[in-house]
Amino acid sequence: MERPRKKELMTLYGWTILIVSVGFTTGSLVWCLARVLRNHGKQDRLHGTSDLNVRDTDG
Amino acid sequence: MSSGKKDGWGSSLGVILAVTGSAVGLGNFLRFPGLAAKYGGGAFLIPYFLALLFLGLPIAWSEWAMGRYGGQRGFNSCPGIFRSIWKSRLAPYFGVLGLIVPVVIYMYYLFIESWCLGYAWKYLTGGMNLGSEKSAYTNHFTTYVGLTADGAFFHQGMALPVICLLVCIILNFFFIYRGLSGGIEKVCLWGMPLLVVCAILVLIRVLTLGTPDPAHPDRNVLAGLAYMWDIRGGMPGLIQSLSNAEMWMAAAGQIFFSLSVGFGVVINYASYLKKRDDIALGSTTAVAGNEFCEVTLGGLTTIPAAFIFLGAAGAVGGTFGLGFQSLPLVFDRMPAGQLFGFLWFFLLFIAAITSSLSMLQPAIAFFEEGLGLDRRGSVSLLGFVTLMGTAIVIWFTKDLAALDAMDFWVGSFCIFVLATIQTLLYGWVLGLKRGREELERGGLLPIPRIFDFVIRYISPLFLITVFVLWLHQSWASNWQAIQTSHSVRIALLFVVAVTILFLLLIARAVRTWNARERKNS
Repeated sequence: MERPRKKELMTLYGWTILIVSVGFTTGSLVWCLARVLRNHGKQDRLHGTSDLNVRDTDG
Repeated sequence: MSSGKKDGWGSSLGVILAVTGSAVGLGNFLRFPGLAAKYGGGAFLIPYFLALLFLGLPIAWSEWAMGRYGGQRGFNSCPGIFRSIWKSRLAPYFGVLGLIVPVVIYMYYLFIESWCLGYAWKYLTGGMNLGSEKSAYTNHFTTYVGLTADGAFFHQGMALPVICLLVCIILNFFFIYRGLSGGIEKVCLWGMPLLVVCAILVLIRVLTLGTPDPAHPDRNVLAGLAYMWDIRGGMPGLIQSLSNAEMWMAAAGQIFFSLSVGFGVVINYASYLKKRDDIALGSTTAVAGNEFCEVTLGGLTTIPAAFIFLGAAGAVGGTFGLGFQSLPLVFDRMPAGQLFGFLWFFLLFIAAITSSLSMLQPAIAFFEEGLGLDRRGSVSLLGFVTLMGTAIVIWFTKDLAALDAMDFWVGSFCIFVLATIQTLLYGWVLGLKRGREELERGGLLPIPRIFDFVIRYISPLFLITVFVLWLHQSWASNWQAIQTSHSVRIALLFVVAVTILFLLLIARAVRTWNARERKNS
């Protein structure tokens, strides 16, 4: 019973790829979002509320 | 060049979530894991990340830059943006691809979106207890979609599938009518975090399953992760996998379709940004968000879950086979499967609606700025065109012939062409100097210098190579389908008719733009 179970276990290659891939994608998102949120208040120079018009040219 | 008050984004986070929402779809949770499992697990990730760096990310940056460049010159639609970049009379007509690609994809994507809503509803109300045989789930999917014959979708009468489709149509047009900040942005600001929460709950469930079936001790969490992530056959296996050209093509294709580059959506969304808004960090965050959903959430959940309950044989299959036939069986065998089945299909529904909404906006923008229609007029016109296309898709459901034809010729072929045009436009027409100025203005993230070389030479070459290989592999069967299937021919004739309609409308829009420019000069 032991042998087939052992064969299915993750190898070092597998762990490396899993950790690097998941770490890279999760880390990139966290890093980017942190930078976006840090600049959210002081640099949110998108449209002010007066610019916004949800109905566009309607009416 | 629109007149009157302009639509716009409410916040930087809103536009990032809207672009991420557009990119994150069923492909992240079903197609990517399926491809990785098919092409030797972990080995697939190597070409996948190379394609991300040399294809996905550079094209995403260039699309954002071109979008804002066009937006600053008064254009939000692809024909208008192309015209502002390339001073050729032909330029706006190439932009027709930026209209028909999202519009035609919307026509069939809406149908798939309605399946997700229907399955989520069935899980919520206990209607998915179909037993422990896979055939029951296959039969259910066949009946639900109407795979047996053309028109079979309507044989059910006013049943759940039809109601869900109507609900999806109403929701899409309700939110698109509310505009960018009041509709799309609000849906994504709520929907994307909700999607991530649902996905994390399902992920925790999968990773804490242990060995659920004592009769199969080899089917456990670690084995499931190994099936998805390990390199089969060690180093020799890795070398063998990497020498498989088909895997490289599949990896590049996945990155390309997953990020929704060459879709006509990002270029339109970015056009609503202001001159000094950041685009470098925003575009990179949107790409990172898509990759997180795909690699971390999709990669750790779908295949391990299928492997744990169904073994290696159950962990393979196409997007629909894995998503709507294998996974319901997994949820049947999973403790608290009804709840997690609901969460899963609900998150797929959110992923789908944030994508489908984005597909409508490019054409709306064109109707408004090119034809001078107001929001009500543009939504009505687009609603009429897309309803006709969706009607064709849901009538010709036998073997999903119409859906597959539209997906191949528009959802794949035209996307490749549009992405190639956009890459060439950025690297060779807009130029690296003007492009970099656009990227760096207001930028909160430095774009590496090597990007200029990559976007000008590597990305187009990479793209064209993958395109040719992909075409070589799939051309024959799809060409044969045109010759043998009348439903494929009808679907494609409709696509041609829509293309001609948009070309005529572009011609009219160009005359209006020219007249307005002459008057202003």
